[in-house]
Amino acid sequence: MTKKPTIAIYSLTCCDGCEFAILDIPEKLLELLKHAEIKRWRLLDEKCPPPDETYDICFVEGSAITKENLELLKNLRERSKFLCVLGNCAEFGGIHRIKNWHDKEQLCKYVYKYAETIENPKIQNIEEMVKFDFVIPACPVSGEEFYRIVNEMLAGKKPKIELRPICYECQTRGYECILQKGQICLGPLTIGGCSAVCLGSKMPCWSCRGPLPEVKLRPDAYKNLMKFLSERHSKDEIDKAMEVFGMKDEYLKLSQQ
Amino acid sequence: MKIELNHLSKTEGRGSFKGSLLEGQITEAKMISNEGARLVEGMLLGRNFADAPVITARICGICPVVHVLTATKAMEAAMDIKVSAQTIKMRELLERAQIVHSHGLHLFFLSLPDFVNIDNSLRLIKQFPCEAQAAIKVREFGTKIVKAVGGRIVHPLRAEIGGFKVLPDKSELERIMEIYDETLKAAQTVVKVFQKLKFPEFSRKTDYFSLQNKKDYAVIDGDIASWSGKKIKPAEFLAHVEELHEMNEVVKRTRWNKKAFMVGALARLHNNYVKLSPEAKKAWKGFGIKLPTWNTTYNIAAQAVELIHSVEKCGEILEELIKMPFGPAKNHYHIRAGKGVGAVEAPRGTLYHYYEIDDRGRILNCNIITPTAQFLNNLEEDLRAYLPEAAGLPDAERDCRLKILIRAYDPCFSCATH
Repeated sequence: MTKKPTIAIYSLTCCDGCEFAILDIPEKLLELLKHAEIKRWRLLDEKCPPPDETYDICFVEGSAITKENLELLKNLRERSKFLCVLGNCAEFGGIHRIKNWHDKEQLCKYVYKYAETIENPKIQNIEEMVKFDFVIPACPVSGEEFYRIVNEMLAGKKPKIELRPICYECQTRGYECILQKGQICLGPLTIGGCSAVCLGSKMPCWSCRGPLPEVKLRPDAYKNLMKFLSERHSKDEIDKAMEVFGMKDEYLKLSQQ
Repeated sequence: MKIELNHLSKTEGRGSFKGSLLEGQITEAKMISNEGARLVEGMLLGRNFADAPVITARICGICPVVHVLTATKAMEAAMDIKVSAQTIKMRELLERAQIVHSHGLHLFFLSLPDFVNIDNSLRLIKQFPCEAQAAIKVREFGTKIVKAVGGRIVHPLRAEIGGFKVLPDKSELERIMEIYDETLKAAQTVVKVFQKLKFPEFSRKTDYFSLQNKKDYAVIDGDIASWSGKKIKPAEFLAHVEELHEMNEVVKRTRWNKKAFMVGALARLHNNYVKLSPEAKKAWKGFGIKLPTWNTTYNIAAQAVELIHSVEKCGEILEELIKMPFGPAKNHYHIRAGKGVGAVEAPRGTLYHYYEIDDRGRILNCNIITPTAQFLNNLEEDLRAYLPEAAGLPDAERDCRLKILIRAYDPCFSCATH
């Protein structure tokens, strides 16, 4: 019998929501266990792994806020054949990145009396910290998408996310376009694959899955959307929407192209 | 003698315990959060009021519903916004469903392994196949409701200030109602597992704080009541609560009138026992625990009883919603300057959000006090009382006993380190 591939799920600082999105489809989790061994997942396992334990596929969610977080991330890269980034906090820094747009020392003083004793680094994109092999995007990740991608990996296929905008999924489902109705929606720029879950609940898309590669290459779509939005909203309103999922830096780059 | 439990597993977020004894005397008993400082209160400053529920939901992946609802209620209090009876019903359904799936997970997959000496929750499924299926079934009832009413399980989308963005599809509510009877049976199966467990003997007097109201086993509204007889408004509670920050710590512990106190299922059960459903009362009697009890490991028993009560309440509200014609999804309101507090029962205790906003709806000040930040002092005092007794045991057994006590509180380090 060949040995089952080994999987680990780790988290840095975050809400653990991506892990719950995985846990919330128990039948798929049990099916996955037939094909792979989950060697380490602290949510469900007491054992403390040896520091040199290696994995075939390692998933990491959360932002590197403490030094310990960053060391663990780099260390997991060393110990994993395939490092898969899980969710917006890991990929772009998530809501934690909002603080980059404030005086972060001031923010820390607002919360803590002894702010000078608190680790408060600038929040970075994953590519500024480690090399990785794949990203499952979003806040939180979709459990369905997670299992589809893991199963593709286990079958030896190269996992793939269709690169088409959220608008495609929103319109084919017949949802009302809330961008046209005057809300700040970044759907036209954003990688789909989430079934436009937010739009189905009339929540605008704030790009938690990140910008489409073609938008990054040819920023016309971005510039057109900004022109449309700025007729209706202040720069501050548009900026604040982009800050929630760490997108402001991404889109700033495009405006400079 | 030093006792360290580093990076505890099977908790929400990452935390550790450090204890020291010198000649039988406790010199240290400390819970430490291993999460990074997230500064959520700081990042909300200057933002639009409507961002508060969206961003604070991300404090916690297991209880985002309660952050959404508490932020929403605090904003409504700040702007004096009234919501419809339909909105209140749907919010209560969301919160009770959140309690069902959170308790289901914590009871069976996070706490039970300690009692039956299994270190991996997935192995637990093999050893207790029927009971595990029952726990999964109960959780699914909860998650299906949150999805139907909130639009998504983790970080729900539809609840907002003034009401809901979108109303649930009635046929979906009907489909969930079809599994109600089997869910209640499954909840009873889960509870039976816990009624047979031997809980550690332990007692240390404290005070229990929770929401309380006249009509119900309160979860989304009411005053703050304590077992010692205090009854105050949430805003008054906040006015008297102290948040203490120590150097190098990312959680601010709290005291009320200079004392540690307990929140969570056991606190709610003490303050609101008479409001439990007959089936839930029967389940509590099955544990044979007399009130008051100062054994905080019974928080697990209280969660088990709440599981039954919450499933029943979800069923009642679902039936009401299915029968009633839906009115408008939300009430219109005017943005105005103000200050407001929201208090809602999270699975692990009362959550408070406070906001001050200006006349354009921008957030000027904000404070969030989570259940774990509230009970951490109480847990440490319990650990101090418990350590001398546990210290004499063989290491593995001692650590297991300590973990039972810590996990019984159902701590959420993600919430505590917001």
